[in-house]
Amino acid sequence: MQSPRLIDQLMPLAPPELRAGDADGLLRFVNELLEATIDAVAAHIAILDERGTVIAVNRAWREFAESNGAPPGDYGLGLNYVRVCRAAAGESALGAGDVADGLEAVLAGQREHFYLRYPCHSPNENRWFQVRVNRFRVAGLARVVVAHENISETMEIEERLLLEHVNFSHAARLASLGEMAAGIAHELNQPLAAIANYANGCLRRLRSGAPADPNVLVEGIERIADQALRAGEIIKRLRAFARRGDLPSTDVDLAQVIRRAIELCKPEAAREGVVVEFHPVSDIPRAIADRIQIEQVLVNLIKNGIEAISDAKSERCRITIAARPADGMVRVEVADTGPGIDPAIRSRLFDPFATTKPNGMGLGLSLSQSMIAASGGRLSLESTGPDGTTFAIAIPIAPPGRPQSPTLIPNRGSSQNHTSRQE
Amino acid sequence: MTEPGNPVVYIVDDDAAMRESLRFLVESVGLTAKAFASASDFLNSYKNESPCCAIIDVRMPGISGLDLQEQLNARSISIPVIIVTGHADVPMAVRAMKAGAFDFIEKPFNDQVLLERIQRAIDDHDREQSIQAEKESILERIRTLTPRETQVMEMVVDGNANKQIAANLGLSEKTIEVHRAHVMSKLGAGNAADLIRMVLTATR
Repeated sequence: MQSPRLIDQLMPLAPPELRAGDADGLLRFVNELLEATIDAVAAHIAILDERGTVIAVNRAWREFAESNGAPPGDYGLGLNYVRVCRAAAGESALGAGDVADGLEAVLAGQREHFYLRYPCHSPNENRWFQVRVNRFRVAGLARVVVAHENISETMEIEERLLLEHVNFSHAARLASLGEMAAGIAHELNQPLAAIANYANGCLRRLRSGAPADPNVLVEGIERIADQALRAGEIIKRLRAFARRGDLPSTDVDLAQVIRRAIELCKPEAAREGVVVEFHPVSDIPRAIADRIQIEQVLVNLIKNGIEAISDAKSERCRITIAARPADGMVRVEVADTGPGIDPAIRSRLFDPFATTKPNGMGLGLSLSQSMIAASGGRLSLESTGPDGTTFAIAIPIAPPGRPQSPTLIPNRGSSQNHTSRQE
Repeated sequence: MTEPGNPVVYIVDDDAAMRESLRFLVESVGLTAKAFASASDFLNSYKNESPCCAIIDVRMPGISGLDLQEQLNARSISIPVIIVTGHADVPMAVRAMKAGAFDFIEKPFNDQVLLERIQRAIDDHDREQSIQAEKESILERIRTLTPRETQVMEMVVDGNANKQIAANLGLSEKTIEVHRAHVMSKLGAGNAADLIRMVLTATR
């Protein structure tokens, strides 16, 4: 489709004397128009030559460079932008290497466009950018326009929507866990009652004094074994359910997961007057796990802690969560100031249906342990006594060298200084 | 009819393991057990054998335990029912008892408790059936009386002396004495107290 030429549309704006034939003046006019236009755009725009050298940038680009500490006047003009991106990628800027690859493909004419979203977090905020690379030809020469755009707001909305969705399914799953516990209780009753009936039937036959038919006893005992297996199957299904619908393990920011877990327990903690504290060390490595499972386990541990404290009417009502790297894992400790775990149940603590709670199913710790084990981690009782109980979760650390994000706007000499790191 | 045979315990439960294990347990104390997978199976094959009782799971697909109790009531089958519930559910127990269940028991149950309740239910049914049988036989004997004899019997039971009865019926005291002797011998009553007890039993 042939659109009208821009210059023809703009010409009426030019002063009459320029239109009359002042070629230099007309060029200046067009240049001003062009500058005013690209400066008016919020995206950070750079125009590159066919080799990728930055030949022009707009105001937004300049301002962003300055806000990232570039000296005034130094916006990377004359630098090769592909190399700038490669350098940034070398220091593990998420997406920088991809931008370099995309740029090269567009410069080489292998593709006309390139588009990427990438994180570019500053110490104060989470920022997301998108970059668009477009190729165009002027007088037979290829040029490239690079436009970076801050899409943090869009991303925030998207993330919120995603989070709401995840929360919803999470809540649904928590609810169904509760329903299922009731269902399981009923279902387990059947084989357990049958086992009791067969066992008692055998005993009564043996104790009656009359000679018991061995075939009948064998039948009874066989049924006991069958029903014990049936009960085991029910438990197996329960475990499978706990793992069902998991998001695949990804690298998770544990600090964030811990804060969310605390958030979820807040109403209960407030009701019981328990303070839940989180002391992160400065640099918690990211961990490989299912975010929701870790969160469920943490919520379970925190709630157990709250219950222990409130049941014992402890004077100090505090749950302290700490996270730090240890032995190639991330170690998260949940410590309460409750009265300690009853020695009678300590050895069976992680067994299904071991509970000290009047209305407890005794499944929380057992399921928690299975969930953590499923993602290659460990859940253990660290210590327990009159001063409190500490549980420790160890989760595998994510492979290094990923999610740091420098800005991709260079300034001469010290582009690395602009690398902003996520907290 | 109602000769006291070997007691029968009916078991109605849709869960095969529960049903069969209950049968195994019940048989271990020498009782006869008959197990059914559904309320309708049970209703279709129930014969008035006695004495007996039924152990019925409250939660069954189709006709539930409570529904079954109501159907038994509707058919005037007075077999004592022990309702088995899955959990301590007071409203459920209340409903079961109101529907006319003899007893209810919560799963999982102590076998001793269950067997004792089964025995109590059977004894109760046994007693109930003996009373029924006696009532039947008394009614049968009453039906052999002539209208006049029946009249005299009713007046005796109402506490009238022969003289009053004679005056009321406009007959001689002697005639009343003859009627009365016939009533006593036809019913097999040894004395007036016997007669009164019999008539009260039959008309209860």
